[in-house]
Amino acid sequence: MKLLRRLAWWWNRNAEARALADELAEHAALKQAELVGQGLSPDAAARAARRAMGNATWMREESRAVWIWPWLERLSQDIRYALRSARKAPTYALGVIAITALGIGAATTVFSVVDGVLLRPLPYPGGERLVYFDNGSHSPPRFRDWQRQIRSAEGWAASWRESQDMVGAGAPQRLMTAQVSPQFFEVFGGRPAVGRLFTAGDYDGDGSQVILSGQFWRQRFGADPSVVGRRFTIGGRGVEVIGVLDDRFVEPDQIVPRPTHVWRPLVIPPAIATDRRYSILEVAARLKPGTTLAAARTEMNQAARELFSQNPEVHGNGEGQPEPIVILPLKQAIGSRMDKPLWILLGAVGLMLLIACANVVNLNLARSADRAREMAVRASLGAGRGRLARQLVTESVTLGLVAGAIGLALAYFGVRGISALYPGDLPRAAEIGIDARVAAFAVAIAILIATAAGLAPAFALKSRWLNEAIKTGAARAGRSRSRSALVVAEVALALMLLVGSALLFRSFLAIVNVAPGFTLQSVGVANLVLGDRFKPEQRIAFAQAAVQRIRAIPGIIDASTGVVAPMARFGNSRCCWGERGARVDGGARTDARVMLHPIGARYFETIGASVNGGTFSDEAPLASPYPVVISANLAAKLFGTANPLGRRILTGTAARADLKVTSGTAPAESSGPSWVVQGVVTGLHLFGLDQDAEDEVFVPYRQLGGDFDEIKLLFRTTGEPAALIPAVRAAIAEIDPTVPADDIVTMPAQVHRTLAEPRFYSTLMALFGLLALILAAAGIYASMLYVVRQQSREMGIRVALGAQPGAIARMVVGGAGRLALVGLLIGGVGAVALGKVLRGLLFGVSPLDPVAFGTASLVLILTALAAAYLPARRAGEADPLTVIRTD
Amino acid sequence: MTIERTPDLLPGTLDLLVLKAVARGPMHGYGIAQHLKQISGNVLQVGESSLYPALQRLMLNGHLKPEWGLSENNRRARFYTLTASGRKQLAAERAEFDRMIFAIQRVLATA
Repeated sequence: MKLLRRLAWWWNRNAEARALADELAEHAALKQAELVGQGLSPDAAARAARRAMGNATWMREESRAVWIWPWLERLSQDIRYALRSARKAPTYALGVIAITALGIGAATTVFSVVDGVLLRPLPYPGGERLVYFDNGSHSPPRFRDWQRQIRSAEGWAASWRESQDMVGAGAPQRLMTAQVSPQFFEVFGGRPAVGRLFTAGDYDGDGSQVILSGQFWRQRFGADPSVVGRRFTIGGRGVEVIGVLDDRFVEPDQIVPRPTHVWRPLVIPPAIATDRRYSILEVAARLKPGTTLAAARTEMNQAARELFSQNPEVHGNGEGQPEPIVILPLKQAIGSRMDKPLWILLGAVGLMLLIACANVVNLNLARSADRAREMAVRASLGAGRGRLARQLVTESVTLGLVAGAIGLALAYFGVRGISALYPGDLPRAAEIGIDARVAAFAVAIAILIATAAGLAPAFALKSRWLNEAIKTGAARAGRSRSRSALVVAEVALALMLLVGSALLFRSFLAIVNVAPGFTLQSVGVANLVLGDRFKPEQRIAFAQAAVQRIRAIPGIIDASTGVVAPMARFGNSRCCWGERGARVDGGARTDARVMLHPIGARYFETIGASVNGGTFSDEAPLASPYPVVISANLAAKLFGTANPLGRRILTGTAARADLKVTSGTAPAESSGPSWVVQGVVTGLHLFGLDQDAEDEVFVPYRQLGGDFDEIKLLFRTTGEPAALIPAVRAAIAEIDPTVPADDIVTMPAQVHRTLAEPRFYSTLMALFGLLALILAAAGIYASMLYVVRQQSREMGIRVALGAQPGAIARMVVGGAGRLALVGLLIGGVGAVALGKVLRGLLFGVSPLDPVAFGTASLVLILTALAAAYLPARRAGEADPLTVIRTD
Repeated sequence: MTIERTPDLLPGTLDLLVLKAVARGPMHGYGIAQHLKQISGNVLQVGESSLYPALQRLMLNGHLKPEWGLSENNRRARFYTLTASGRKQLAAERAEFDRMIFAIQRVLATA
């Protein structure tokens, strides 16, 4: 109410002022009449009345102060003044705004990503109590027993994520599906937009009820509300739509794929319900209120031991020990992959912000020296030091807020740029954006920088100095030490950023230059999924038919198949069988994980990998020992320098069971297949250029490939493989038109995908490094320009005394160079520390890489000299007469 | 923000006196000053420089409502009327004032 009255007064402030004036005049008139009534002459009465009324101006101001907070009025005065003085010095104002806006834009962009991915609470009920069950996926019997045994959880959510084909509603399409446990939507707070969510009854049947995601519903069904009841086929199974999920639901990364198109009730096929080998479930739970993470962990340890004693088969680690139950806060689990890189980026952008801040301080110092006379006049007219300081800070903050607004707008585009740059699966991508929190961050940074930058010259306001200023009309060249310090700081910070970006860039180059162990050019790959509707024999038949047809395409030299293709990403897909341990029949062993990759004949010929010895054909009858090709790593571990060709090896259970026989215990399972080594493949980086080769065994596709729904068709061409993609697609459609063949790429494109993450970090760092370089150059330029202007008299005198223009320019540039060198030394120490932090992100480059340090230093010193050269030339060309006269 | 008061007035009593004066009926500023002077037997001299800011403050707080009317010499003048909230404020300030005076007298009465 009071505020409303204040506003109403402000709205009518002119009328109100008139009313008060009228009122006071009337008061005076009445007083005068009274005095005349007491016998005074009208003139005397008028004078007496005016005297009695006192200071009318003072009264008006007091009355005004009742309605408007005086500080508010002073503030608006200062702001108006700030804008006026900014208009008078547009270069300065634009410089400050541009530098601050750039810094704030970059910082806010990175902050919004950090905030969305790492900091913000999860958008789920009781989100801070959600825990993720780490150590990979878990088997259905483990999940079943956990729910029974673990008391500290109040809600459980498990999901089985699969990509499956949808048939029977238009063109076939590959969908991401998640089969979710009964409490899933309760735990993650999902609501239906249309229809209903799952009820207990849906879990009794065969799981043929499905819920669509809001986005998929709009894309595929045009947001048709009558979609409930529609039937189509997913993964070879008829399903019926029972509802559509509300759009506000955010898919929990790490638990379900993103985007998940279709949700199904989790119904475990009886065949695998008790089988510990099928690790298919991602599991999360909400702890009971008041349960600490530590208490929950204690319980998990007990539960792991208890469950192991009840059922060692399901809850053991295969070596007679309980399999530990490891929990992490879900937020941490989701952010874990991005955790370190994001903090590093935020740190980098923080350094950049410091450079920007140093620049603004520098500009403010220079500007305040230019305004020394104005300040001195104001001081002599009675403005206290506090009042002047407030004025300076207000001016600075006014510009800062303008810059903050522009920076926020830049961040809006920056966030979109980052999201576009990132390889598609940034965790919690939906939660990244500019919101009130991020805006508050930008404003806070703007105010912080501006206050600091405004206070710097305010501290320099000394009365002694002001006295001098009013006499000479200009500041003495005081405070040059603080300006030098700023230049040094800028160079030091910029060097840290440049070294950081040089390290990441060199690391990126090192990755790109890794020899992949196969030929990238002229190879293409079709990434397909043959869903549940295909039986293992059908998959094998499909693969053989496809390879034959693709080989027949003109321009294709060779083709093969495999579950895995080099450089294929492994997000949600299954690449291979993993087994623990391998050994030579009657010889050396390794306990490390061994991967079994089913591949077709001519796989290595197609991709151009080099194999010692032979491979295997698709025709010969299959029986144990099966022919295999092993990786050079594994060969070295098992055979050392001996010739492995023709030797028999065992893997996994078979390898361990054999050991148990020799150590005197009864074999648990001795009848695993055995392998005979046909060839050794060297230097093949299967999982990514930055991934070392693992211990690998390549087994015939016909033997194990049918178990996998993923299938890769590889082909080698005479010319550019991209041109043959349509022909390959057509060949696949001829065999089975219901298999979606939308993901066919050339090998270089496939490699490009695997490099997305290092490219992302090195691009951003390079960008920050470049911005830092520009900011530092601008800072040095402005600083030197100022020094030159300050010392113009000295320069003029030197020239008049016969100094050559070149000598003067050299003096100025030399001064800048000395400062830059000091900055390089300090920044070098900082860069060493930064390198330590970066270590985990670097590949094939030492954090102390001399090339990175050298290049960064060289670039920086050259930039510094160039930035100093322009003002230096101006100083050298000073006309002594003009310079000396103007002062 | 400080509003200066004539020194012979107890701090905080100006608002009370103005409210009390206006309680009798609509009055303009001059009338209020005259009224207080007469009733108090010339003891309470309310200076114009305190009166008008006080009136503004009471308006801001919603205790007084201004109306334009004609003064004794037939010119436009601002008359102040007590609002409901002003009436409440008057009662409250008066109770507080009485309590204070009573307390002061008790202190002074003890030997």
